[in-house]
Amino acid sequence: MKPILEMRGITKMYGKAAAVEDVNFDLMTGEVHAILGENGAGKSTLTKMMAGVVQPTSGSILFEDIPISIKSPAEAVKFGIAMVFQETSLVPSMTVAQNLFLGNEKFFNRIRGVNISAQQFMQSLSFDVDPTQMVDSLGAAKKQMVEIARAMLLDARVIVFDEPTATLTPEEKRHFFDLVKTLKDHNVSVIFISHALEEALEISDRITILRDGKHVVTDKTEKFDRDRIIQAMVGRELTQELYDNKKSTARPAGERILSIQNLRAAGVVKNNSLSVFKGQVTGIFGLVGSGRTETFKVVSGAIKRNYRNGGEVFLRGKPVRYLVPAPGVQDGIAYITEDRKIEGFFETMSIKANIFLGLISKATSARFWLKNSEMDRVGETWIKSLQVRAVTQNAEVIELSGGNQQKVVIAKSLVQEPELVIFDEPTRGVDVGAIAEIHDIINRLADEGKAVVVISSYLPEVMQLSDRLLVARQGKIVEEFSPLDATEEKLMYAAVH
Amino acid sequence: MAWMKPLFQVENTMLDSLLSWIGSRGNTRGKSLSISVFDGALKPNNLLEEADTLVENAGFSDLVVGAENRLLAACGTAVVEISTAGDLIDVAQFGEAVTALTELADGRLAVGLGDKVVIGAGTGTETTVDTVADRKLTAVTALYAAPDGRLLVCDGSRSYGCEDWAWDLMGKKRDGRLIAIDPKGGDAQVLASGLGYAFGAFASDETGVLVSETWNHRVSQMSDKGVRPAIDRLPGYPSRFAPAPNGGFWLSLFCSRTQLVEFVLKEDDYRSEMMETIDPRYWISPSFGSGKDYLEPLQGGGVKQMGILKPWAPPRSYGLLVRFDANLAPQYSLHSRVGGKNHGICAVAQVGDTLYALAKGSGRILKISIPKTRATLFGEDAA
Repeated sequence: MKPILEMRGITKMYGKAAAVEDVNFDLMTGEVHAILGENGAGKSTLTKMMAGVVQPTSGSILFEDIPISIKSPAEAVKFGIAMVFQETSLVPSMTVAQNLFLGNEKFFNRIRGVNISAQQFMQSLSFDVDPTQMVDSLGAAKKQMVEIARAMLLDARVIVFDEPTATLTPEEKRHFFDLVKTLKDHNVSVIFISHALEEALEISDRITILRDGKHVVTDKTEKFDRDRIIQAMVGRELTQELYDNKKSTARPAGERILSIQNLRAAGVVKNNSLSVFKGQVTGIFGLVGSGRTETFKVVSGAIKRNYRNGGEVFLRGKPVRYLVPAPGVQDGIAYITEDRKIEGFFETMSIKANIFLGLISKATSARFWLKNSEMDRVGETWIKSLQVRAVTQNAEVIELSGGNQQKVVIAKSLVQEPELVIFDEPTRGVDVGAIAEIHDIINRLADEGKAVVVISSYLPEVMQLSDRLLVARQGKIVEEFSPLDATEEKLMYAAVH
Repeated sequence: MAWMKPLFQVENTMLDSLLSWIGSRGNTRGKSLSISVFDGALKPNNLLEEADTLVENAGFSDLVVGAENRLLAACGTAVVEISTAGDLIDVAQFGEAVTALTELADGRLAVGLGDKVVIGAGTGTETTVDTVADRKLTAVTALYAAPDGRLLVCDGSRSYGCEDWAWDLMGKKRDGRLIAIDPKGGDAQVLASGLGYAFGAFASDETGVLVSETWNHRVSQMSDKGVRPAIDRLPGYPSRFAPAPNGGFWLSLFCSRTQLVEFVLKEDDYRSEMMETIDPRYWISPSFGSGKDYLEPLQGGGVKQMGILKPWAPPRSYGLLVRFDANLAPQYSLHSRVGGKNHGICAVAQVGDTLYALAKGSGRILKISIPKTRATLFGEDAA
């Protein structure tokens, strides 16, 4: 096999900071190459340079041994390099079929023809997506499928997948892996960025690990195991494996703080009932679309339950129905969103301003006088407490890595001193080092006697954290497990069957 | 200041309140039919279904522990003692069915005979109480000897006798009473009235006086200010209590709640026609036992798919026993789920480390080892 794409001494500077520094990388024809690293390691920047999204400050890129300069994504596509982005780049107000053929429309375009072609193409990929559906009505997993299909449609020779499986269900992941194998059989080279190390170990031929923008190691996948990858990624031995220790004790249930009875909402939650108790972590596991997020958005007031036959929500024994989140926050409910970029923070505001916003949103009446000194003090306290790593607390949140952004979102909620803390996918898109720190925060909250809910699609995480495990399927909780006797097989069986 | 909140929120609140007000006028069909869920300490298991059967007799109606740990049961028109081997020994006979039973601190038996209470049965100096506060007793469902020497009497309903409890539920009656009788003089005092079927009483220094309000799905507590809900929104129909030696108590719940029954209770026309035209055995209502007659309505619990009885389907009958601590917090529970036989748990008694429960649905007295139960639930050492 010969390299199809090579990068030599690639550096990308943002101001004085190097996002990628002197990295050498090569991609063979027909190989699946995983790029791993903590958040902020430079994986996305490196691949964005291949796809023409950003330009390298120095270094060279060779495509089939010929030096090239990729100035735009359109130019990258001409070379056969396509990128499936972490953040969806679809047009929400267009249909799936229109998005698939966007930019490649024929002069005489027939909607029906486009729909039929899209349908045939999606079927050939075993993707169950209706081409006539509007993209903004699709769930995250289906949007990801459309992204992948669009890259496939461009007849790419190199496809870069940035966190492709983060939002996919286990069954959809299987489809995706089969798809990658098919690509490989057709001599298409695949670059695969993921935080799920097992996926990289399963799917890739070679693995490259970056740390702080620098190349650490590239080797064949069979020469790696989990330990070696983590050590290379974080540059230190983690004191204990995050997920390998089976839980041996569970915190006892305290007072019942939340009781949801026969809840119906958003067309997804169907007759859902559950309780949450103080002093323990209640883990909610389920596949994407099982109504977990919507249930707790109703609890927090982010969405409303059905007016007719919508069920009831009791907080500390009293029925509540929040129309907006503010009264929920005042009653001690904190919902930490799964989609931090959209719902979690103001990305161009500073860390301390974001945290302070959390505090003032708890107030029952508007405040006329806001003190900078108070904002500084609150920001500093929480940045220290949650170990947010930033140059200064005046740094904008957008400049932070995923893990640190997540910590800001957590701080923004914890500053409200809630009694019920709901974490929705708390470690999605977060690097291994920060995962351990976020888990510590969750455990600390439960030890302090707060009621904690952790919604997660990642089985080892939910099993490791929870004192009670609830499994959601098709809009309701279908099983409750003790973490002491739960196994991944039992949970998955309950979630699927 | 509310007026400073965003305008859309004010509008929404007003609109919502308006809709709630409109909904509260007359037609309540859109109102939520929500019932509590079995989770946390009430997480379902099969411990009642797997329990040993000590003795089986269709006539059992109550169960208590007497002096020297004698296990006494009301069985048809008799009070019997149950030996450790499960043999029945006659203690007293009556002319009517015994509906409730307890043993007083002085060793005398007190029995409920439907519409009266007989204290000191079989001693020759019986005291019979059939009227309290100018109202006749109608359904003596439970008796409890309180630590202060008083006899607590549950008079379930003013309108229907013990056997006709389903009429009381479907008639939406709320006229049960909790009565305290001085067993020495026979003086009686009404502690609470207007109860949604009184079907169990309990008293201890920690908890005060408690009463099961079966149709309201709650346990209420007596206080100087009156009756207040102490354990609210139970997922079943609470019945009799039994003291637990280490503090707290056992509460039996004779059936679980279902949305179908709640729905029928809202549908007045349907319900009145059902009461007029259908045999009560086949009503859509909770039941002590089910699966005996093909005419019984299917309430989900009978649904079979691919030959498998769906375990999550709401049952017509259910077996449930809950251990509460002295702070009225549930600790753990024992269940006989849909498809099981040991349903309709309406009385319970603890002797040492052994728990006896009366499953009226199957007519069985069940024998359960508490250490083994705790070992199963919490992984504690059974030895």
